[in-house]
Amino acid sequence: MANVPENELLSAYLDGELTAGEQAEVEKLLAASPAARQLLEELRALSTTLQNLPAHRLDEDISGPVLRQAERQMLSEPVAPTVDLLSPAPAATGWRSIVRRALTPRALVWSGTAVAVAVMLAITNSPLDEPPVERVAMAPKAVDRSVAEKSMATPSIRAAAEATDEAELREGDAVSEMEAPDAEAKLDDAVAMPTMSKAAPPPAPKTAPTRPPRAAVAKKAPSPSVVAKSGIVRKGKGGSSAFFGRAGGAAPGGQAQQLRGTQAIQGVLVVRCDISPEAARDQTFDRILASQKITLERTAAEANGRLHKQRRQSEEGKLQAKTWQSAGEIDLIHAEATPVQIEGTLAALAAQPGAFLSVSVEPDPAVPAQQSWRRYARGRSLPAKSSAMQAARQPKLDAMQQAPTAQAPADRPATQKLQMEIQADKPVQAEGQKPEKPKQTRADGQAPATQQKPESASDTKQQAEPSEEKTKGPQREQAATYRVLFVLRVVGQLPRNSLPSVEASEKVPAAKQ
Amino acid sequence: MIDDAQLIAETLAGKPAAFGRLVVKYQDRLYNTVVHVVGNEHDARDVVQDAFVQAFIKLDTFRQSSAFFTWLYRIGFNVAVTHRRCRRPTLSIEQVRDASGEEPVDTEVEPAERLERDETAAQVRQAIARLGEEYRSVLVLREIDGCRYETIAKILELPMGTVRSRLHRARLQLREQLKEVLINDE
Repeated sequence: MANVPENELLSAYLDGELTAGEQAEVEKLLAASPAARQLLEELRALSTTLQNLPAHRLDEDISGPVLRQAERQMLSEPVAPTVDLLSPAPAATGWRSIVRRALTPRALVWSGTAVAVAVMLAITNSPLDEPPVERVAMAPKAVDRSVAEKSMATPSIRAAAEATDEAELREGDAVSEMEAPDAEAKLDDAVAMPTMSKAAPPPAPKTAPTRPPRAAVAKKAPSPSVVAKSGIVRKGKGGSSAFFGRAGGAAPGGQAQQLRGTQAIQGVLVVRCDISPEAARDQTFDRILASQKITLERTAAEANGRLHKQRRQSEEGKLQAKTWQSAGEIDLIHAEATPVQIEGTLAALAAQPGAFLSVSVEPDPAVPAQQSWRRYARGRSLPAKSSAMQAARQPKLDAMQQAPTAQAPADRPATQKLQMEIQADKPVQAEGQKPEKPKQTRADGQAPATQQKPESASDTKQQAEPSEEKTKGPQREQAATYRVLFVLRVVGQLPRNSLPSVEASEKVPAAKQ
Repeated sequence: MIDDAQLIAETLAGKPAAFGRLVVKYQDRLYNTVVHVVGNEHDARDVVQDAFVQAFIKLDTFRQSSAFFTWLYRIGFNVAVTHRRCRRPTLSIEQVRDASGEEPVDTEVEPAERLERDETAAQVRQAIARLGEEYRSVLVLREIDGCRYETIAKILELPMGTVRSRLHRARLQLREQLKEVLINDE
């Protein structure tokens, strides 16, 4: 048996951690050795002293700080751990564990949070990753290629294509399901989500159209500052699918994808209108947009706040006008327009109080030039935006202050530039004016035909007609372009028999002309 | 009372609040152990919070082959060791006393007796702080937290025999440092 002080069995005997054989051995030692008994008593006294030390307690519940800190860490590094804290030495982390962690519900929740934060930060200054297909309100020649393809396809192919679209819509719905309980919050979500989600996904290479892992989306989302500095505007491939922030991937119209040239997209203006049933029926708003030659994309929000891609095009894909289905329905129209076009639209809305019952104009706080448009606001319109949306604009403000847009001269204040543009512009069109023949006109005055290779006979035709006029577009339009979100809501009952068919609505502008 | 496994499952299912309940359940126990390892309350709080944060982040790697608190302690001790390596404080009795803050007041004892008890506690804590890191961790887990050898072995990833020998050596060292205190107590 070892020397008594060195005999660790005494400690284990004290702790009751010996086997039966070891215990018998120690008891034999204790019976024979007074030194062993002395040491055991001292160890027992020491143990008692230690166990009687006053207990330390935290004077607060740290679960809140713990979860907040964990949230911050997971948002900053949602998937890959940097250090294996269960081992003093750094442990290799294989791709399997990364994938496994990324696919856990908890990781998806936090990644979803990260995505939400990213898109909120990018709400007002998010160039899209998908190249544009230009559209003009009420443009009889504007052909949605995907719709045209579907219309020419067999019913089975068309059904398959629609099923794909529905899957895309569900994906978008999943994003938009972060909706507030009350109607106003739903509306705010409906307004916020389309714009927000644009910046979320990174562009997927055409050769590899696979979607990035969900957990990685937030890390890959461009930061607002980067977006603001890019000065490049890209638009969705068409329809409203771009609103849902999907990875672009290889769009069906691969050749139709084009990258819009550098231009100055400055601020997001939100215009909310309550429109009368008659104005909805007559598609008055669409005519105003057409008269201003405003390029638009469109998304609709149902009464429950979810965003849905709407197929309102005719079989020929000539019309994108909204066909209202029910009172309270919300229509979201995303557009890019020059100050002159916006001014004209707002003036037209103001000139028709019977059609546009109320107008709310919410300028981008970062753009002083937009503030003057508040004068067009009147009546009680749709609920004001959420504070979150306002807060989300702050990064935009910061980014813009740090990075002037590519074509905005740094030595010229935005307000001065806008005044010059307005002075050089033609008079504003209002209600009753004969709408111009809709053209597929880019807001910067450049002809899409110079950048987009025609893919079909209809494409060729539609691009050939307005190209001359577009290339002569006034230079003023190249200076500034604002992103505008029109939020329309029908107030009052929509008689069923007054709902225009697509074909009927197509004929309206023609009759006016 | 909901057991740890259910709270862990709920956390992994996307309910962080369930992990908050785990934090509440174990924060004081872990803190009372860690404060003896790192030597002061302020650092102990940071270590405990970091340990819970890392546990939350890595919860999906927890295989539940051992108790949650064992796994949590492993994280906590590694965080504490890292923390101590960064700080390496040299403590005096006064510093230990100051860092320990106010002890819980026993209103049933006389002030003089309370003062003596506090001084004894401070001396004991100082003696613990002077132990080598490998001895201190084993001793604290056994004497302060009441862990069995098997649990200590899992937390510190040591063989059982090493735990037993280190604990005995820690006790012998502490006995030498606290001889006077122990004699006075007797």
